[in-house]
Amino acid sequence: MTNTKLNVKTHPADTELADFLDDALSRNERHKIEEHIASCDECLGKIISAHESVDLFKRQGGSRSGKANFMKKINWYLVLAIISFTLSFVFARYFIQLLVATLLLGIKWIVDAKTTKMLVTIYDAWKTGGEKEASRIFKRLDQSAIRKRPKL
Amino acid sequence: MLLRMSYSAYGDDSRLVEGCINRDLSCWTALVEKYAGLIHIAIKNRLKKYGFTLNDQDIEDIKQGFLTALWRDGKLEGVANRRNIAVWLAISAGNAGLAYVRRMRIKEPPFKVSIFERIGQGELQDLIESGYPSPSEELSSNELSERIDCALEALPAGERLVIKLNLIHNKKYEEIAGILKMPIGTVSSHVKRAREKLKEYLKNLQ
Repeated sequence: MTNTKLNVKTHPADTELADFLDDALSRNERHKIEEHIASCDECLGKIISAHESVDLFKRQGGSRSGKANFMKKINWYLVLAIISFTLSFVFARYFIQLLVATLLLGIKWIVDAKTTKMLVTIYDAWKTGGEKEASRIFKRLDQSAIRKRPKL
Repeated sequence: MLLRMSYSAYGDDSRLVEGCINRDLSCWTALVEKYAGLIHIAIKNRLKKYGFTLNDQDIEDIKQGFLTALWRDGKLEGVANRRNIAVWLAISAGNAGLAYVRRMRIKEPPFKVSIFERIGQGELQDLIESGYPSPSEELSSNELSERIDCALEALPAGERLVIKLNLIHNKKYEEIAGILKMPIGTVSSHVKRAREKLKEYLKNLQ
């Protein structure tokens, strides 16, 4: 962004800029933001970039729904691993090769799984927030597991 | 019709956000699934505006860092309008992208000072008209850029905003109407008026 003028009082909070683009402000608040971004290239840049990003995201299908979402939910690595494992018994000649393929696809499935990604997030939290933060996440996990467990 | 572009096309986020604030992992996973694509686009787009072109792996790293910070610092608690967080996420993710390049001390590309890079040559010719000396002859592009900035500053805020979006950010009337939530007719009249004023201002500077 070029020519950022810093002579503009205080920058509005990002939540206010978001509300401006979402049309969730009162007329008076809206006018204030308009006045500000007319002189502040930095905040105008934020608004334009967010507008373009949301627009592009929307054109690309956004969060997807229906069939697209269903296709996305299928874990193809797991499906292929099962097929490969089954075929290893059908084609005895390629038993080892198909078993290796099953193993590789299985590893890929585990790596791609949501729980693995969640563990990476927890590890990241532990790295930056320390053991306290990680244990708090684990505690939450335990609690949600207890809630989901059927009563005897 | 983009006249009243709605960003809430993805459904109400309130329950999702509440769940994330209460550290419900299923809500958190749903939020990541729903908006991971947007976060990636927003980081890339914002960095591009500043001239940074990072590869997809770097963008993914920034995205992971952003999501981790979102979780760790409970940033969602500060969001008042929880019905739709797409725009807020896009802005915050863009900020995270810029923070990353600053933290990593990635060299900032040189500023595009040339007025021809900010405003198209055709637009510029139209604004300064034939009588005005061409930049290559008598004015440096920096000097011309300064004069146009002065002319822009002299405009009322509403017109300045619209003309900036139109001339500098190359936004069409429909897009401007979508961003500023105003009718296309108003955008069109603002642009026309601002152009006339700019021409007049630049003529008086000769």
